[in-house]
Amino acid sequence: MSLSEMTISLTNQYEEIEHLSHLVEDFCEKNNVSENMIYPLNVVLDEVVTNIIHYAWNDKEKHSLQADLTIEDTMFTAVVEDDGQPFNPLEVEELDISTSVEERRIGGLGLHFVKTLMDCLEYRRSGEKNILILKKKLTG
Amino acid sequence: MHIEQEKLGEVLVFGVFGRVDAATCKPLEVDMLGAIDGGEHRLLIDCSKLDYISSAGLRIFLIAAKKLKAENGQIVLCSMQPHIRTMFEIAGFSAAFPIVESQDDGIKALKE
Repeated sequence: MSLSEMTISLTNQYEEIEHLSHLVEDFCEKNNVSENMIYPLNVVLDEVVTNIIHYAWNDKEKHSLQADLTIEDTMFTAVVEDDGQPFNPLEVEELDISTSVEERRIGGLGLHFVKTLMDCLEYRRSGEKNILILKKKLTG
Repeated sequence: MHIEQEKLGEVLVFGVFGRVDAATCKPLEVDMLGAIDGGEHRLLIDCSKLDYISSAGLRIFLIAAKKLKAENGQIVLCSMQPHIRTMFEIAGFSAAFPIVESQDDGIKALKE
């Protein structure tokens, strides 16, 4: 039984995403997560945080958000919290990736990655906060 | 992220280097879509030095493909690292974007 945790605090700046990537990589490497799992986890957290920065707040103020990462045995869990407007990504319509280039809508790809690459997603609104829980079983 | 452009005959080769995310993707959007608007209709994207791409970058490829389709143009990608290729596959882009092994193969694909 092993447990490793890390809390990442970010502000609503896109420049924070590269910083987030480095922290996720360090955390995964310390926990011996295999190379081919690190990239998908990185992209998923990037997409979730990018979405929050883009949509959560309508003002131009500085806001903060937080990602708590946990690896317990072979289960990776990320809990991402923001105090922006309510947004449940699980209610967003599935992207139809079988459509041709001409018909393909431009948005929605980020959430498609999140849903495809993770095993389990849960959303809840708690007080003034959006809480998104993402889980992935670590293999290989 | 940085971009290197080279014109080889009819083909404009775009080398994309480093990391393409929401913070860094703007120059790629401006340069690639600008080239298409400027009349470049044969684009080869060399991805050998592309280390990271998120949906913010992939959407630029989709917009470029839509524009080129309307102009009877073509876009081909080459020399992609496996983890990047996986993202294109999950996005469902593999059918829309020919992905070839090398720059030479890309040039050939664009001549056909």
